[in-house]
Amino acid sequence: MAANLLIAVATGYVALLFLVAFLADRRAAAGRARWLRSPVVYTLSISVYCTAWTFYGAVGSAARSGLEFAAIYTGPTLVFVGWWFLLRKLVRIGRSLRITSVADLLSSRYGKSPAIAVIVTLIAVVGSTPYIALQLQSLTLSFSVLAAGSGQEWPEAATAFWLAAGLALFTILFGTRNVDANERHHGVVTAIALEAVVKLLALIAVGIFAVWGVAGGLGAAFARADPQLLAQGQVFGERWVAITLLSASAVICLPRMFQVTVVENVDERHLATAAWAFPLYLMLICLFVLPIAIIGRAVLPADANPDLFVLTLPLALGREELALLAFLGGFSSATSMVIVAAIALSTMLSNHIIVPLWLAGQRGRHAAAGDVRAMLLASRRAGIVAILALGYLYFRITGGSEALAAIGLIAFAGAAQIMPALLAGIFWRGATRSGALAGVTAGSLIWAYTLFLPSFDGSFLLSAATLADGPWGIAALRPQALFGLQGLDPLVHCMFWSLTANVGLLATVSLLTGQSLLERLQAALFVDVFRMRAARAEPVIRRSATSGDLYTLSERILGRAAARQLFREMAAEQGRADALPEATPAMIERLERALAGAVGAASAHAMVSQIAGGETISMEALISIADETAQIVDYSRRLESKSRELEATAAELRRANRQLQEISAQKDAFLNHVSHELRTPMTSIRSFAEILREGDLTAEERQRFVTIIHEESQRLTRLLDEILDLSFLESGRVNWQLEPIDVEAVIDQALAATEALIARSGMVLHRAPRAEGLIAMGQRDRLAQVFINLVSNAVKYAQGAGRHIAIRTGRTATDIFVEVADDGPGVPPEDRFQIFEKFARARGQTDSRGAGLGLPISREIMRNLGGDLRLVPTRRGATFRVTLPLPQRAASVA
Amino acid sequence: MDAPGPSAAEPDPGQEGLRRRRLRDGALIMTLAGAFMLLPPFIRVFAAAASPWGIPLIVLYLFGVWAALILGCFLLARRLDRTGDEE
Amino acid sequence: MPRRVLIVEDEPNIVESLSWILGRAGFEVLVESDGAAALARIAGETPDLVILDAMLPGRSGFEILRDLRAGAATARIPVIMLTARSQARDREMAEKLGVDLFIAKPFSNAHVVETARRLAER
Repeated sequence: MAANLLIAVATGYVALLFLVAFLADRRAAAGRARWLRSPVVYTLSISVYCTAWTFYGAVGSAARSGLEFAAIYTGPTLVFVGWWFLLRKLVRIGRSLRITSVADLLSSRYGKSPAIAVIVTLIAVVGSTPYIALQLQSLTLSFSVLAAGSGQEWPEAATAFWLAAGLALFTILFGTRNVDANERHHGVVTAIALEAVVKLLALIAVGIFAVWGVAGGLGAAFARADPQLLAQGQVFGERWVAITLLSASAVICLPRMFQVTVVENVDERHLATAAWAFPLYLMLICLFVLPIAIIGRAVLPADANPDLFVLTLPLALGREELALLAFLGGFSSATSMVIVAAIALSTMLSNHIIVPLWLAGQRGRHAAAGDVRAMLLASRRAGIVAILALGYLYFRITGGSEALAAIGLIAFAGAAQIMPALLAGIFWRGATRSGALAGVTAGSLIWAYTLFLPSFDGSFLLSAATLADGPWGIAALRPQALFGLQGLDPLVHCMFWSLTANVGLLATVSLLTGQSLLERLQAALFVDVFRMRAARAEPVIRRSATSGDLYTLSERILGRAAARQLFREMAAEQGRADALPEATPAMIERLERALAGAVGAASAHAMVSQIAGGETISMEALISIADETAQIVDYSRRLESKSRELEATAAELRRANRQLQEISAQKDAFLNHVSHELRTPMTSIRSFAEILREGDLTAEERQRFVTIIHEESQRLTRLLDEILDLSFLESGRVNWQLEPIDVEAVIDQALAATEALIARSGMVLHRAPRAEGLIAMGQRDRLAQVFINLVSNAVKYAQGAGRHIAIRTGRTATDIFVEVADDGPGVPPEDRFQIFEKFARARGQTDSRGAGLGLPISREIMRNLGGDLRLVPTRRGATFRVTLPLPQRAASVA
Repeated sequence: MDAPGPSAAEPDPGQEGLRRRRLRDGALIMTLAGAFMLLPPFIRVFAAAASPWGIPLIVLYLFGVWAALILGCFLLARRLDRTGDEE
Repeated sequence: MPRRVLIVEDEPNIVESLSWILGRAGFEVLVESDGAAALARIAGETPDLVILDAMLPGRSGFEILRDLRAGAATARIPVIMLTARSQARDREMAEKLGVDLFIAKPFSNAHVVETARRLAER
């Protein structure tokens, strides 16, 4: 095929891509990009997963190892089929926090750590450079193969150079139009979607040609297979598992995959389509890989490179137009990968390496001085050039001899080192920054040592001798047989050691280290992204800044128009049209998030923090946010317990109400009694006073009536005293100073007071022998009052029927007791329970000297002294027993 | 009082929650089943020498499982997408 | 022939004052201090008037009044009830049981004498 024709076709195709990208960008800018934002375009853009490695390499792999190539596509299929559990969460996090790259994602999650961002960026660049070189190599190879027939010598190095330059130009033109990395690159995405269609159609066309044009049917095609190729059993071993795992993590962690799946996602719902459509695309791509490989091996000479069967098969059979289509398919696969990878990597480079360096250089000067926006765009463009230059250099230096598939898997294994920290970051709150750093670093170092560096076959850093015998001859450290683990496929060997170290360190270090407040906040935002309320009342980070400073910063980063637009929106939300928005913590948080969309979370945080002083993280708000999940679970539980509580409270209230009613009834009865007891003496007083007033009385009568009035007045006074005394005793406000008293002496005192009364009644007092040392803590006068009351009662109630009053003292293990007994009629059984009630005078007793408060008062006194007063059941008469605690017991009671 | 009860067209919230849960469980089980069928040792069962219609059994099996997963995902994804936010 | 009045009351001083003023007013005064014995006493003596305390040992004035009104011989004897309790309920109950007059303690001597005369004349 003529080189000129080839160049013309390629150039024409590139021009078409430029045009498509240009038109798409214009339509998007004009707001007429409905179909550009369709789920189909999104799905097709994800197919950037299928690079030249797929387009050419899958057939090559199939020709060498049969079905093994399929694992590279079943892994991602499983990830997308399970989209609901992982991808959806990633996309939601990416959109809500304006994540710009996979490095930004990890950095943001682990407390906006710049260190993690740098490490992930380095891994990404190191892993992607050979991968980009691989694309350049496949492109130049495909040019050479197609042009081979024309007899011209094809300048490989020049082709690669001009291709790299052209791709850099395209990427710069359409990938760095806007500083906001989180903003969608509609032009790029649309061009890639177009390329996705071309590569699929090309591969299917070649496949149909091979199966029906060459072999004459599927059965016939498989019949021509080398039986060795289809002896499949051993394919599904450790390597199959390792590749499935690798490809599953690569479809998430590879910078370009994260870019198209998460960063370029315009609508979360598109994922629901991509979930089945992308696996479908992968399956269609794979459908004819095996037949092409089989036919290629059957038809083409044995020394033909299987990695180029897609091109050489139609070419060998004289179908040049088909070969040209296949060439365009391969071209599409390679270019789309390079473009997206360059965008993703340059964003990471500029946000995580160049900006922090620049910020460090700015320290001491006014915060965020200078035109950040111009610097950002320049650094992105420089990044793109640098990445393509790296890829080109790698291609030139290595010369491109390896099988394509090996490089792809090496890159996958590198990207897989990000996976543990990523998964832990979005599902495990406890994963810490140190844990992630340790895991990713260790995993990457082992990856480099056991897989990446050995892939140079001893020409770079690790010598052939080291590869064979280990460094300094230490066999245990042989890169491909670490610690003597031999006999494993190098890929499986690398995966085993690197992921073991990675996951192990991530888990262990996370458990051993703590999280900063910011980290805890970010962890909560990530892990519970679906449970967060859209608008939190309280921003967690509190700091202050002037709106003016913030505006200047935004203008420098986002550009004047975007900054003005953002501030106008924020002002409107605060209800302050035509003014700068107030720099509330909430506003600063939102601004930082907007800036993170341009420079990444870590840099945005650093920049805003330079301006905004007094940063504190509100513990309460953090706890509230961190506990939001728990809160929701809690909430229902709390509701339940609340209703139980309410029920209990209601029951309590009912009980209290019953008690109050009882108390109220008691109070009524009491007042009724008091009224009765007061009115009775007053009746006599009034009646006799009226009689005296009328006059006409004998001197004797007058004397007698005045005496009655006097007695009844005394009775009234006594009654009032007793009521007041009882109410005092019952109030609980009694605060007597207790002193040690000799109980026998108090009895002496009481008997002296009642001596006359007893003598008048004609009764006989029997006093048991005095007990020695009956010392109790008490109040002498009050105790005497109790004894006087008991002796008077005995006299009063036993008088006439009985003749004896007996007083006896003693002690038990805990108490001192005094008993006052009489041999009178005793207390009728039916009254025994109420003699201590107020106004409960013994039945049948007419007593003008007491109101029936004596016993209640006595009992209250004893209880206030820590003792008691009880009626002792006896067969004859009444016996009252007074108890007082022994002093040591009293002390412990007090 | 004009507080209308839930209209007949509105699904019962309890039923709706149950349906949502089953959809999610279905999606998870489908993913796990897919992994089970595509990984050894189970996949080796089909790595036999048989070739129905001239096509190796393992190829038919692999693409059959693949297609089934895509179909299952297609059926579930649209319904799941409507179920809303919570995990 | 002097009217006879029976005083049923347990407070000795009140009995004394009532006896004194009613005796001076020309009544023949009988006294009973025990509630349990009061009914038999009334039935036996058939006084022209009963002055009945509401709270008595043995039996309450209300019970005595009820039985009094139930007995054929005693149903028409006028009854003045005295009480030191202030509850309106007591008054209502007494009136329902057919008391002729309900007087709260402390009372006015003149009022008691005047009503006693009026009721005893019927």
